[in-house]
Order: sequence, then structure tokens, then C-alpha cells
Amino acid sequence: MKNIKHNIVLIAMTLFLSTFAHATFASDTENQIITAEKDTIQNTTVCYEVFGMDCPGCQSALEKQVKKIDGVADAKASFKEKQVVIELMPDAKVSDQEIEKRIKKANFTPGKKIKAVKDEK
Amino acid sequence: MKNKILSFSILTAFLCYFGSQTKAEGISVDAGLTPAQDRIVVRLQYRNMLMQMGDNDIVMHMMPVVVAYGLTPDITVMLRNIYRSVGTNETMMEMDNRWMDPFLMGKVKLYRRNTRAYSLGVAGFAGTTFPVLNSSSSKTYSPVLGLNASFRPGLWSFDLNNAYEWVNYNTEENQPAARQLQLNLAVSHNILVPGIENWILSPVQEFSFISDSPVTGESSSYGFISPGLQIVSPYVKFEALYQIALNSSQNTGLKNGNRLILGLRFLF
Repeated sequence: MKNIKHNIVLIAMTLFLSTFAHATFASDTENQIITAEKDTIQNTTVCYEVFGMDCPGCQSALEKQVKKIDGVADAKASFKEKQVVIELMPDAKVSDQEIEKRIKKANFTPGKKIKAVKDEK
Repeated sequence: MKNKILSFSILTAFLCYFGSQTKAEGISVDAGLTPAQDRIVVRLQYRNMLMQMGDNDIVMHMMPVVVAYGLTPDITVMLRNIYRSVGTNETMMEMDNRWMDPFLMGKVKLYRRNTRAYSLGVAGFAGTTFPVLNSSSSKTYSPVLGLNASFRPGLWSFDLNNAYEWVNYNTEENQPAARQLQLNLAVSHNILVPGIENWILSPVQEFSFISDSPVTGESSSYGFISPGLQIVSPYVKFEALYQIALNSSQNTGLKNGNRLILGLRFLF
């Protein structure tokens, strides 16, 4: 009778440990896959010509406006290059009209879109 | 939007609580250009002013605090308050250390054109002091109207300010103590600093002309020629200007001396 109980406990523990181990390793594996996927997610960078900036103060004013757009991760403006480089968040959908509207709110004039490239992280 | 209005109201109330004169002279860059929407500019200045009455000197330390806010791309509101500290007063005039009356101004974009080669902007403004602190000589307003223009070809900047002020307008007598025309031209050139990204040096030369027409007494005109320097970064500007007085005798018997202006602008 004792042997039967002992065997049942052993089987139960084995089942529990195997289930726990599977769940843990499976979770780790999933996390690794997600992390790997995140690492390979691509960010889109867009660049616009901007007219009207004449000093570093203008740069920060434009960056502040552009960063208000939902989906914009970062923006770097240059009064020397007369352009703003905008980094979008993964899968963000930002229209050209929205960006041009923000450039105008900074009292500058948008020029042509210079390039649209995908940078791998 | 409600939060923005509330924030600005609190800021205005704060400065009114702690808080004039409107003068065109003294580093007037950005004159015809309205800043971006939601742009906050805080300017702190120190002005060392020397005046003479006969052989007696008056040395004043003026410390204006200016807060400007881009309400929309076309409209900028600005509040200024000045703390006056009297250094030397050898005259019989009574002067004490205190906050002057606050000055509230609105600037409206009238024209702006940005191209690859230049930017051109024209803006009108209207403002007045408010005798909330009862520090003006006769508890009056000093309304001012003006027109500014800015032209920025490449690395050069030309800023022209024109203002007409009804000094100490007395509402009971329905007339000002004086009318003052102020013209100011600032020319500057940006110099890129090698090795320091996003910082520029900007030597500036200002020319100021002021015509004073009091209700009683003779009119007078005087001016300043002011060399200066600005150091500009994306979020901070340092300004220094030395105003050399020209034709310095005013009709009040006061004689303007040279002035030193040091300033800091924080851009948010």
C-alpha cells in the first residue's frame, strides 16, 4: 500500500516538474523569439527640406513641433542643411500632410521630401 | 488647449503679482518673425544705465524679465516686468528699488516668406503697461503700437523695429505726457563655430533713434550706436551689447550715458 502511494507521488511530481519545465522553457523560447523579432524590426526615417531656419534656436523649435506627432520617435533639424530628419516608430503611420502641417506650425516652409529609407536596428 | 490657456494664465498671474517702459533699443532680433506655436521664450537681462543731470550721476541697474509664448504660429503674446535697482543717485529726484509696472504685448504675423535663399517677415504689435503696482509716475498706461520687419539672406540678419508710444497716458486728462517714436535697426551675421556643432557666434550692430515729443516743452531726439555679440545654441542664447549714446541731451535736462546690456534667453 505504501509502495502504491509512493509511486503515485513520484508520478505526480514527475508530471508537475515536466509541465513546469516545459512551460518555463517554452516561455523563454517565446521571449527569445520576440526579442529577436524586436531586434530586426525596422524603423523608417524620412527627411524633408525646410526653409526659414536661420539659427540653432530654429532647429529646436522645429524638433519640438515634429516630435508632437504620434508615431515620431525622434527628429533632428539642421539650419545649415535646411532639413529635418524624422525617425518614425515601428509600424507608425504618419502622413506627409501631418509632417508638413507641423513644419508650418513652427513658421517654416516645407520643401520636397528628400528620401525615405529603412534603417535596420 | 485648456491646459495651455491655464498654464499661460498662471504664468501671467505670477509675473503680474511680482511686477515700464517700452523701448525699442536693446537687441531686437526676431523682430518681424513670430516664433513657433507653443514656443516659450524666457529672457533675463541686466542693463547698467548711466544718466547725468548737470554734474550729478544716476546709475541704475535694470533687470527685465520677459516671457513670450507662441499662442499660434501667427500670434505671440509677451509679458515683461522690470526690477529697478538704483545704484547711485546724486540728483534730487526720488528713486527707489522696485518692480516696475508690467507690460503686456501681442505680436501678429502680417507677412512671412521662406525660400532657400532668404526669409522675410513682417509683424505688427500692440501693447501697454498696466499700473497694477502703482509704480508709474501718475498711475497711467503707456500704450505702444509698432511694426517690425526682418530679412534673413543666408547667414545675415536685418531686423527693423518701429514703435510709437504714448508715454504715461492719463485717462482722466485724455492725453499722454509725451509721444515717443522709436526706430531700431539690428544687423548681425552668423559665424559657424568649427568643431562645436549647433553653436554659432553672431556679432550684432544696432542703431537706435528715439524722438521724444512731450506735451509741454521742446521735442528732443537722441540715439545709440550699439556693437554687441550673441552666442546661440538650440536652447540658450547669450547676448551682450554696449550702447554708445549719441546726441544724448534730453529735454528733461537728463543726459544719457553709455549702457551695458547682458542677457540670457532660454528657448523651450
